[in-house]
Amino acid sequence: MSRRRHSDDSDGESPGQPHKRRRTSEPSEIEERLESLICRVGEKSNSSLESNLEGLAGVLEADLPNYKSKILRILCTVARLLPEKLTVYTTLVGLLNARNYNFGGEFVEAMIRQLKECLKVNMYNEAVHLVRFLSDLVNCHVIAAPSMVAMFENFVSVTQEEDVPQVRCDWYMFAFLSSLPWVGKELYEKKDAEMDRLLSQTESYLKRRQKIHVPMLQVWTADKPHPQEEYLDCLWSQIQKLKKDRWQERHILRPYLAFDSVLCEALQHNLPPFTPPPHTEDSVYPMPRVIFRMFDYTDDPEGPVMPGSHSVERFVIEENLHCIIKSHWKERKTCAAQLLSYPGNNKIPLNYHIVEVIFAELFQLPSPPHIEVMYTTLLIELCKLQPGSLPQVLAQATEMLYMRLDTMNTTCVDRLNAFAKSHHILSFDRSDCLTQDLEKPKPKFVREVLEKCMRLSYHQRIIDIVPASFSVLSPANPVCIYKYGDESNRSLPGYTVALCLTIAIKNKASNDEIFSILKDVPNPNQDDDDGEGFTFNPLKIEVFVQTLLHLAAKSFSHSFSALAKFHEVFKTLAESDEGKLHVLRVVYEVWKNHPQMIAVLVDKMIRTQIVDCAAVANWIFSSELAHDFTRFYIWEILHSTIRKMNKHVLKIHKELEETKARLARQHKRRDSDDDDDDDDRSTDREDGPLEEQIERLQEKVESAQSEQKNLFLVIFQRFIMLLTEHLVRCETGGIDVFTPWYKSCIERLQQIFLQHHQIIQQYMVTLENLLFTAELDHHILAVFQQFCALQA
Amino acid sequence: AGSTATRTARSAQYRTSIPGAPGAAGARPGGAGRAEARASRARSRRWEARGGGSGTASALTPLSAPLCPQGSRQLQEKSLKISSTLYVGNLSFYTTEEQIQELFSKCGDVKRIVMGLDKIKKTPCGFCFVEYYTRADAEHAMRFINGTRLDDRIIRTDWDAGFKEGRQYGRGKTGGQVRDEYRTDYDVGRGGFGKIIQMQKANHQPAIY
Repeated sequence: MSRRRHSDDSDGESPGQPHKRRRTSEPSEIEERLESLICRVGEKSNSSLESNLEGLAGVLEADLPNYKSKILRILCTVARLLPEKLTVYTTLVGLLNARNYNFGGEFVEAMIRQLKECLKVNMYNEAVHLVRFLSDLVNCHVIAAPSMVAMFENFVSVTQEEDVPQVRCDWYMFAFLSSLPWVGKELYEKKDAEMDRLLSQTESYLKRRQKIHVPMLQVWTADKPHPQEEYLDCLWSQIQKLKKDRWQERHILRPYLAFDSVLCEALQHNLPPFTPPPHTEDSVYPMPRVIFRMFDYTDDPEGPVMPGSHSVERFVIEENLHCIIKSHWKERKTCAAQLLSYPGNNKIPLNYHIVEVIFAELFQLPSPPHIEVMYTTLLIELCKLQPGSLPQVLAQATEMLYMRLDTMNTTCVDRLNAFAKSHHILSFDRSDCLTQDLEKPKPKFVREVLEKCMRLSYHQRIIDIVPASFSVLSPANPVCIYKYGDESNRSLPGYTVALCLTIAIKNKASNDEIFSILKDVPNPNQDDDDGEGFTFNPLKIEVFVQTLLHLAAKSFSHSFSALAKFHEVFKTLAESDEGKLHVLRVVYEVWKNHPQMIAVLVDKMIRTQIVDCAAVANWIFSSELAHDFTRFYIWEILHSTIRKMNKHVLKIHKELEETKARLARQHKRRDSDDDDDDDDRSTDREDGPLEEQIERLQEKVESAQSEQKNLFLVIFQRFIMLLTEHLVRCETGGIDVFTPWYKSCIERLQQIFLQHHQIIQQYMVTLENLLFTAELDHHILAVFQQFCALQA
Repeated sequence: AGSTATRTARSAQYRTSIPGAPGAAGARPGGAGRAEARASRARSRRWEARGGGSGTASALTPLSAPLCPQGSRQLQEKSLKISSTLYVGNLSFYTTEEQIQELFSKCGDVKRIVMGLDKIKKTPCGFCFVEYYTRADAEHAMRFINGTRLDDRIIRTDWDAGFKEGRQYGRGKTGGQVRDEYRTDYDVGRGGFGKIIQMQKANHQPAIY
């Protein structure tokens, strides 16, 4: 699909639009037309879907002699990438199969090949769509039911494999169960004994599989009003109910029913025996999920009834809405329109489903499937298209989410915070949070939202709109605190140097001049100054950083310029680990009222290598910051720091791979056009510089990876120390462990594991042996065990 | 809303600068840069129209792209395709770097923000450049920030070939952006009436053009 192939939209072509490129040759024009026709079938049209399908089947049949492989390829691709239109395309294939048996056979073969490919390259989500497509082909008389059952038997037998990760068995189980809403009835009618056997095998697998990972993935810790179920458990309940209802399923649109008389006449194909590819070291299976629910039938008393949480309709609707978002997330207007035109609009409370699905993605742990800001803009577009109904549903949702903040996972609270617009939160009565301890989730949430609002506007505006009774929750005025500012501070050590510095900097002093001024600053720590004055001198750092940041306080740009101009001084003063830590401390002292400024300064200092990532991690866990430890900006900074470290490692790794590739190409070139005798010396000479570069890069990669590992170890170590302290204190004092601080802290630890799980997987052995040993308090160890269970 | 004193204070922060701050050094207003910038914006709009973004048409009609020699136009298009810098327009004069940082950070780490300044007054005049570290992040901004609100105004983002010294200044005759010379509406976030109208009101002259 050309829409898919271009990852950036600068060539933006969507199926609904005619292609922009003008091709001169006829065959390509026809190919484009075919692609366009196939993609567009099922969309809004003046004719009925049935007549469109009939017409298209005729066109394609006529083009089969010349364009068969192209048509095969397009159909395979839509099967994989447009799962929300599954039944439209299976019907189309059914009609083609009825007209051309061989084509049907070739299509099935092509699909199986595609399925194998997907599994080999860990594209499990797309593989599920392919399996579902194949199973719906049974309904279209393309595939014989017994052969489909046989394939599912092979899937379910994966659960008997030994020494494989649970997530592997989970996937095959999911592929089987999630196809049943479409094909359960047909399979049961033809092969009820086999199906019963499969279902009982399923039941016993689900009973014995472990679910340690579930608490880590739940959005709320409470089970009321809606239990947060593990995804396979929920699906199993839905299938059991479907079976009890004799496989009657009424929600899925089945265009093939209209063509029953034609399709009945078609000859069916047998699926070739399918052996699930074996588990390898490189296999990466999807992570388990928890089903997010926030609405039920009581939430829209006047509209159509919302299908129950264990109804198969609920499953199908949610699957399709998720698929629509996946297909269209890059184009917010199209996405909103597609969501709102989901069929069955008047039979289901579509707005509620849409809002629930969007929040499900936004709050998904470890991470949302798409960038967070997309969901905000998508909801804005949806409200624009349905101004009379959707805003109310959204307001209902945000109210509900606010009410249940106390039990919401801290990471999800962060995301809600980022999402919340002030008028939604403040237009409701929030006085309940005034009577609570400020560390409790609700007042904390309001404070963080107000701080975010201030970042997007300005302080005075927040003061103006927040009622006086809420002033305790208002953010501080983001002004800089300069300790040498007032005459009354002249007794402070370093005051006179600060004045000198101020004048010098205003007069465009150079780095050398700054150094010479700073020479006069005594070192309160040391007795034996080594004369150079370049050892760790906290007072020097204090005077310099305070003065410079104060002079550059006007804007981010001014501060960045200051960091750049006096980079040399910074590097020298912060050479030691203690120096780095102290620089960070002083930055905090100056800017503690302006967390946003702290964040951008820390970012710049890491990027310009004034401080390193480990220093930032140690600073975050230091006692000076204990007061701010649960504030959102701290974690913003820590996660941003970790991300920078990760990106750095990736970048050097990429450089190394590219250089290796260059060397390989050089060898190839030489081998291919080398007629002369081998001259070893000249070969070495040519390779020399590149080989040296590769060696250097290898070292760089190793050193970066070691720094990365060290960063995580520092973070985990500090968490363990902090949490252990708290647990011991509570135990000896006989008080309850679960304070708001504790909940926040333990969930922050979980967040580290979840957000960076791919990297951390590499350190499992070290973590197990060094940090998360059996002697650790079980509260902390549980987090590690939950994490291990995610890919077990 | 908000007191005038506060807003004036907010915009005044760019009047002075510490040594080395952007804009403090002598500016080189490139004539070629001018045409380049306008053409770039016209090209970005075509990018949006082709479905590349979901850009809503700005209420301010663009000036027509000037004629460019074919070769430099192709070069221009190429650099836009790999750029990770965005031009941001229709900002309020009082919108600060902090606000822009907060908003655009939602799409990725921001490498730098350069505020657009009135050439004479050196105060923000309603536009800026936002540069990301990666193209992908900039694309997200084009998809999800373009056409949304900042300081209660719908802002617009366009692909930009890259910030060059001098491009941070407005090119209108009175120092601000050209659009603020000619517009006829009253926009409280952008200094009230357009400059020409303001001058006419001062001279009590009817509209001649």
